[in-house]
Amino acid sequence: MAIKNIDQVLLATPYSRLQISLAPLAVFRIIFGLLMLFATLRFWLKGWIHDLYIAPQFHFKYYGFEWVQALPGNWMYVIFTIMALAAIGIALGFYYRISATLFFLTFTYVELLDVANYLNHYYFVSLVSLVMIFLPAHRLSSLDVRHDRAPLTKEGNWWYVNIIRLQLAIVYFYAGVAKLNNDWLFEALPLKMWLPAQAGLPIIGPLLDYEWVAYAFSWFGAFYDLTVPFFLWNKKTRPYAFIAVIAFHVLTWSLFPIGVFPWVMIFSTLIFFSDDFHKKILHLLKPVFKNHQISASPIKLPTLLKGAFIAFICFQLIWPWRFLAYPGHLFWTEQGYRLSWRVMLMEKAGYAIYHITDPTTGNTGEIHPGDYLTPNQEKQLATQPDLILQFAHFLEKEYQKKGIEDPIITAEVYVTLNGQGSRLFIDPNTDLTKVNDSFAPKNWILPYESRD
Amino acid sequence: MKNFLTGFCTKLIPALVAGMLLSACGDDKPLSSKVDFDRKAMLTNWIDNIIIPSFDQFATDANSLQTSVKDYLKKGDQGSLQNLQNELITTYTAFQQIKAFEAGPAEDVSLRASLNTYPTDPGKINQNILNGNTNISSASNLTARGFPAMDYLLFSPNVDLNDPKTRAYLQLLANDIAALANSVSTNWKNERASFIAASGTDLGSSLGQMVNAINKDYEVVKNAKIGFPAGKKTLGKTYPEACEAYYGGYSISLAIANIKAIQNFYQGVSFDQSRKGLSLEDYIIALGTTTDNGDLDIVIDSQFDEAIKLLQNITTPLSDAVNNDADAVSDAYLAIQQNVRYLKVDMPSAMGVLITYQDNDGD
Repeated sequence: MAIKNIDQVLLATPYSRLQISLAPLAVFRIIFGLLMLFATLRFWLKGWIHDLYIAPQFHFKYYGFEWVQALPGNWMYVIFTIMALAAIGIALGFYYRISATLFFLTFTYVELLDVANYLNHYYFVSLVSLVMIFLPAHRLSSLDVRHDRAPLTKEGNWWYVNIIRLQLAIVYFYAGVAKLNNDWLFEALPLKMWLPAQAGLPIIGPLLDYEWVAYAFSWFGAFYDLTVPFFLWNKKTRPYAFIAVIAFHVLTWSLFPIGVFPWVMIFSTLIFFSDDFHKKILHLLKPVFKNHQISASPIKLPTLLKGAFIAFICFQLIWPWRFLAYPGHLFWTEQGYRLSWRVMLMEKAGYAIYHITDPTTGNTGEIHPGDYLTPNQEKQLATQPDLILQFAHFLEKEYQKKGIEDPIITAEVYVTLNGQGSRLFIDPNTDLTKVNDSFAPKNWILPYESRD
Repeated sequence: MKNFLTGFCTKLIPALVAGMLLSACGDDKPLSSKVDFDRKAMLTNWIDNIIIPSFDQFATDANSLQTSVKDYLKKGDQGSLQNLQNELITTYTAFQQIKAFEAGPAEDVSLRASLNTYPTDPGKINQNILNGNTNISSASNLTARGFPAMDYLLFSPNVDLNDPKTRAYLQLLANDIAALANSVSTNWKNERASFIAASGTDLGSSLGQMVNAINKDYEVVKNAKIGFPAGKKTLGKTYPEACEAYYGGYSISLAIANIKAIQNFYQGVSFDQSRKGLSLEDYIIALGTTTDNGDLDIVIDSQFDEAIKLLQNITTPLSDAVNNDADAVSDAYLAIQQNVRYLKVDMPSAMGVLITYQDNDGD
């Protein structure tokens, strides 16, 4: 009794405000697990495990992760099976820490296999699933609690729920910041190019041919991304913000081939809703999870973990700005483009062929990337300098096997950006076998000259 | 937080609105401007005036080829052989008119690979002849089938056309070509309505299918017809025997017919050349796309002309020219190559068409 009194006293103090309901976290756990299960099964049923990870004879590696290799034969299906089971484990809170860890490892492993498959929302899933390992998301409404593997705990440190909210806020806000550029705001590019292509859609279709619609979408998109985290966080504006969330993502889902991402975002933003809202949801799930125990005292946040959370957030606040350290136009060079929430930001396409010279004979030949790569890999290669370089090194080894000891390999690449006519992308005279990838600026990328 | 939000909104919203109005005023085009292009009308022009008539013609020619084989096998004289050889060239040329349209019914039966995989394999053909093989539809027979196999039988000095088994194989090849040509031609007519209905720009749309199809075929022209025999992929080592129609020696005229067909399709010119309807060219004009060399529609068109002109400069059979007139072949190859970037990069990008033959998510 005395202890309870102390609790009540603490509740009134500023310190105790750091203890909050874990209900939003538990609901997020369930939603995240189910969405990831859906995404994994969808990926499987579309045949992409084979198309993206088994069929290719070559994979583009992330800088620093060249050692990550695809498993041979049908073993990739085993990885995806583990991933799907782990997603179920997360949703149910069944051996939760192990499930969360397995999901993070399998998912991130698969993502690291090939840069050509990079998507911002895969990066988001990797980050969230990493954090989830360390969150007490299974301390209520879980099978772990039901089977007494974990004590029922209804409250915990502020960070345990809010780190997910911060993560979502970063995704939105930085996606908005990325839109604050001349092409997006003052030319309505690339939407001006993409929207008329969807003019066949019902209801809104006929509008999409108009230029003002592209401007309206661009500005609304930027405004939405920049402000929605704040509007979601604020209790008064939250309902309106959530309507905007639904409208925005359903619209992007109907306009662009962006897979499950809109649904992930719509459902994830529910975490901004009140404790009561989430408690009601959990109440509905009582038949499944059956909490009989008495709640243990709120979970504290170990100092080390708090430090790690802060470092995690700080890293994400800083990392997207690394592009400032590079010369040239970011969209053109893509130095510092990835892992920065630059979503649907530009229309870029390219065409690449390689030229090889045998210095001993002077004989020259052409190499077509499509002979070695899948259509998707070929498409990604043609607009991204680091991939162009990686592939040149692969070709060097291929031709060394054919007996040309020191081939000279150059690339002839034409790229169009936001509807400006295609032009040479990288220096066609640079022998790429003599260049190594690094964080240093790639001075063999030709400067981007704007049309105007 | 609340103050921050209020401040954010009161300052940001007017700023955004002001910026938008400003950008609208600064633009030389009014905001009410729109892309005015009727994609359905273009698809209708394609299917009614280009695709169906050219497949029809191809089927008609393939039927004549089949008849000519029968006629030759009955008469066996020099005149009917000559006639048959000409009929092969006619049908092979008609095939060049349709081979870029490898979508829908043509894609379903892999028409291009089935009828035109070269170099053909004389060993395989002779084996089929010896065994009296009457089923050549399997994948292993791609190099013993279609036009290249007929080209070998009718033009190679090593073939004995008096041998009954060889004559049977000749008939088999012609029957195979005619059967495929007729079924694909019929199926295109059946798919007319669904072709026009798929008027979006996604991968499954008719525009997406056709843009991808002509790009794929144009690269086949560049690589298989010219590049590979000329040693472009093999560090200069030429492969004369890998030319299309190697035995008859009319590769260049086939290549020109192929490019001309793609150019006509691009311009929306009807198969009988009598009129011009809505086309990719018109679509580009409506979008107003430019390049570093001028307006995209004009750049593409003149690059087609250039490629055809330089192909015409090759006067000997390509199998000779790759060794004896290598510069002319190289020039033509580069002229063909130059258009790939405009057709495959600039044009689809401007239209919002995905150039990928693979299903995948984006972000």
